[in-house]
Amino acid sequence: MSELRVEDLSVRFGGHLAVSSASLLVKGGQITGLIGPNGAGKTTTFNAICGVVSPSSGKVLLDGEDISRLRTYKRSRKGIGRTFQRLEVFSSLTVRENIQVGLEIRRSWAKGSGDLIQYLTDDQDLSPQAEVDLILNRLDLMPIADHSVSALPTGHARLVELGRALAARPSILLLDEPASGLDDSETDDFGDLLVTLAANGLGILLVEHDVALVMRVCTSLAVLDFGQIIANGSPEEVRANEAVLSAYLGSTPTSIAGTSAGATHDDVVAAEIGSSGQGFVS
Amino acid sequence: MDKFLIYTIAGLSTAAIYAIAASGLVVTYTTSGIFNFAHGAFSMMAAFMFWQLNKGWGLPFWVSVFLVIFVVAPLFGTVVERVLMRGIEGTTEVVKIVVTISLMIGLIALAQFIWPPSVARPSPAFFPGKSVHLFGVAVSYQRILSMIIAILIAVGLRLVFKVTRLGIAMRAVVDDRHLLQLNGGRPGRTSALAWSLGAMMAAISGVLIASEQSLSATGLTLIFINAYAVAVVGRLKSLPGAFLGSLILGLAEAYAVGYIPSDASIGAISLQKLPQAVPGIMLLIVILLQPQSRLRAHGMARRSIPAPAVSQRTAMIGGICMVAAVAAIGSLMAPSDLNLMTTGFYLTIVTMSLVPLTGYAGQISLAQLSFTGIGAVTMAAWGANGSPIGVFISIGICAAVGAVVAFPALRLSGIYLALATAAFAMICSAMVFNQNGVMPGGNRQVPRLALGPFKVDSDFKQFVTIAIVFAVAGNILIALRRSAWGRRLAAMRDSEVACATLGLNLTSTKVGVFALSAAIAGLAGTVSGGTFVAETLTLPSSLSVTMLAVVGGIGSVVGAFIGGLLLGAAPIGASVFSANAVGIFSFVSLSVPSLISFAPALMGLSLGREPDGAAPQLAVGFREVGKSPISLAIAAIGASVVWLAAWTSVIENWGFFSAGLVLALALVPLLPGIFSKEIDSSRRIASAAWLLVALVAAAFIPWGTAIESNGMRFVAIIAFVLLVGRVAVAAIGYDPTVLGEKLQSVSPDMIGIDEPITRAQAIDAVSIFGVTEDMLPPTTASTAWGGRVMS
Repeated sequence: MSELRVEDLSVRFGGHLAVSSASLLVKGGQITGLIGPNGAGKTTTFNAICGVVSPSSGKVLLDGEDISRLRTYKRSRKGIGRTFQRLEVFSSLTVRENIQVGLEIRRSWAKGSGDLIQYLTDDQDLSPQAEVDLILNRLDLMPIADHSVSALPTGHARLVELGRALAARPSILLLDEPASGLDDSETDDFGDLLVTLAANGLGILLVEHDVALVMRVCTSLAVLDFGQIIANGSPEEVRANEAVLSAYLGSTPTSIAGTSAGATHDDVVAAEIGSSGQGFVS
Repeated sequence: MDKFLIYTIAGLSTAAIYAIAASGLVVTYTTSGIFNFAHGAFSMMAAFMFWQLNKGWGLPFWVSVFLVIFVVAPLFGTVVERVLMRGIEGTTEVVKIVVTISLMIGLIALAQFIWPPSVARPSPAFFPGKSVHLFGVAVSYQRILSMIIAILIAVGLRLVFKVTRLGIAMRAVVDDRHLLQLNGGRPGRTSALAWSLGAMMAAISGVLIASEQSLSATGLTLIFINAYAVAVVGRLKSLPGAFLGSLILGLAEAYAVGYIPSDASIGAISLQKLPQAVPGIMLLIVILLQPQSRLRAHGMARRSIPAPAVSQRTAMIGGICMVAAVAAIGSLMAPSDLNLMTTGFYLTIVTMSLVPLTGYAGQISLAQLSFTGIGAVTMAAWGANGSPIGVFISIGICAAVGAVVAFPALRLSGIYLALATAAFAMICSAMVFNQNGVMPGGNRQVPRLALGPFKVDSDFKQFVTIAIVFAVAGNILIALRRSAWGRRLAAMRDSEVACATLGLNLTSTKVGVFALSAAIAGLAGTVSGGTFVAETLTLPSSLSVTMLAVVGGIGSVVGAFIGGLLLGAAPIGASVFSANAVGIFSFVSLSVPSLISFAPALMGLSLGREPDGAAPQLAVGFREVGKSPISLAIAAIGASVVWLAAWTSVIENWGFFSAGLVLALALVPLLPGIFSKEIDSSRRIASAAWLLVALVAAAFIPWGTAIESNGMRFVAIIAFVLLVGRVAVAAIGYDPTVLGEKLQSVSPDMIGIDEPITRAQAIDAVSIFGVTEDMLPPTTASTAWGGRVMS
């Protein structure tokens, strides 16, 4: 299984240090959450991993190989896929064509056959058509397969982006707020889908404001604030971390504890998470 | 030594003028994100205006200078921003480029109309006759003034942008217009200011150069195109960069003029016009040296040129119909008219070459005619007897040249590709087509095709041959659009960054489509069968090609055909109507050729309102015809009847022309309306009868003898067609444009800013607080709720 390792990554925009010596580990078969307040540098980290911005220092390693000097399309061919926070669907094409393009681009450089979407099925000999259908069905997009993407609601357009990224068969998939725009039951289904994908070997790095979803599906979490990783560990560990609380709630844990009449830090966060699934700060 | 000094000082003073012009270009680009191709035309207009005030109306010298720079220019800049540029915010790069190119072409036409080129206009000089001696070389006060002004502007602009609130707001506009607005800025006012500042810079450079050059609309505009090269040195955004570029270009040009004798040559290559190629060469070198531009994620809510996927069956039927129609029309034309039509008909293939590049892939080229010229020359060299082998060699060469030209620029964003191709066009016209070995005596005859025993030996055969080539190439393009590669091009146009993260090599994909486009443009040259003149293969001619291709509707092959016809029709119309004028109220009289010279530029400017061009609008009416067999049959019968009537001389030239127009523009698009089941039969019969009467009237009114002037006939026929169509639409109560309503794409980020919030969205939003629909106040369509109108 693949492994993406980000080492001491820094990204500088002029005088602004957007990401500062961030280190991350994304393992195949696991879902790693990357959370943090707005403007913390999550999307910039994504951009640096897939080569859309160039880091000022640090390395991106995929299975031990340094890919930080490669251009975006070469990193993608090594197995890095992603979706976007601001939609980047192909708006003049239909839903089916969007996914088809992802598949066709891969087929144009990956010569070998025996094609499979290894994360969705064991069938080793899918035709391109069947592969597209499989993705459409699994993401519940089949009923709108021939609709133009430009008229879709945001939640569905995000699924199209996910399907398109899957069609390129990444080993590591970066998802930038994939569940925003989905309703509660759709979010539940979406969480199940992510778990299935990971169970079949895909490594996922998930940026998401829906904390309930993050807590449910992630095996480990990293918290980014002002460009720095301030906490790292299992969801339970992160939830108990004081630095995380103060980053999110903008005040010291004591004062919060004071307002909630003796509740422990854990309780405060748990209450936050349990209340609505709206996240710490949305 | 003296010589060196003389040319150094000449170079420095040219550099000063470039620097002033380029800073205007940089100011408008950084604040509006629009690269103003018409900047040179602004300078040109200012120079003419200056002449008009001072010499024409006799105002004192300094009063004229003041009025042009501080009153006329800022006013003009503001009007341009308000009327044209604000409308094209947020459209594609292609539309932005084409609208400013149209403005440039329109201004040149306007200047030539107001100030006919036949009169010489010596422009007043600053401090005539006064000069100082520097190191033994006389330097005129005017040149010193230019340099001082350039330095003052450099310092002044730097202060404005770094220190003042206004300058900072100007830089903010281009970063994020909406964000600035949300923070209390006024982007509209700021960009109007930027445009008037840009126009002022243009005016200063125009007034300064006017006395050193003879006043010529095209000539002056072209001088300032050099400022584009200068601005690129600063990546179009840095003023110090632009000043450095001005120094390099000014000096390089001066030394090229001074030290390269006019009969110099390298081998067989004459360097006579090298000085004219210097800006183009510099532009290409600078673009080569630019670092790779980074990918930008911009969200999806951008209007883009739609590329409707036509079915292959429709495309084939369309191709056959087109060849048949061309043959039918050609068989009716008088030999002289046919000759005229045939000469310009190859231009439809030139505009088609932009369909894959611009329509499918969203890239742009301003050098299509250069490729056509290369195709024509190579055909003349290797296909002397009209052999098809010559055609294949020629298009191969064009594809290779196209790939080489595009490669450096494709690493960069759209505007750089446009500029690189502009540079290529400049270099070609200065260094390639004027070589004696390439075009002896400045022109070259392209042989007509010969396929074994079949020889294209008459104008009629040539006319039909071009139609066949167009139909075949058009079908191939449509097949391509439907292929995996075509989908990939559309995807790349929609989002480059998404394609890259899927593993697509953007550079090689773009080089491929550019080579294809160059090959088709070259094909147009090889089958044109005409005489190419070196002087017509210039950058401005290529600019018109790109402009009219987009006007026609570059997303489709049909649009390219319309664009090509418009392109070919302008010179034909001008020569047919050369002696005619359209009188309005007897005291204003416009000559038809000057009307025609404005028309394309006006159509280009209209893209600001209708970025998709003409074809999608026409297609709406015609597409429905294809779906209804009765309508299709009637259209075909109607066309045959008109053709038969003309062929048997029942109707004559003008009658045929007007009947054809009524048929194509009024009757056929309304047929589906007439046969639609949703319209009650009495109305249907009424409008069908009206159209029939109109068709007969159009054909049998003796237009030729009823109205004396060709120009008036032309206008009368157009008015007649519009009237017929409108009355029929009113009678049926059906408007073909309704069918074409497009789905609006809305980015989630834009809701509430671009679009009013709908009731459904509001309910969705407040449901978090436990509010349900029945708790909300009842609303009607016109009720304001939450400050915004609900719909």
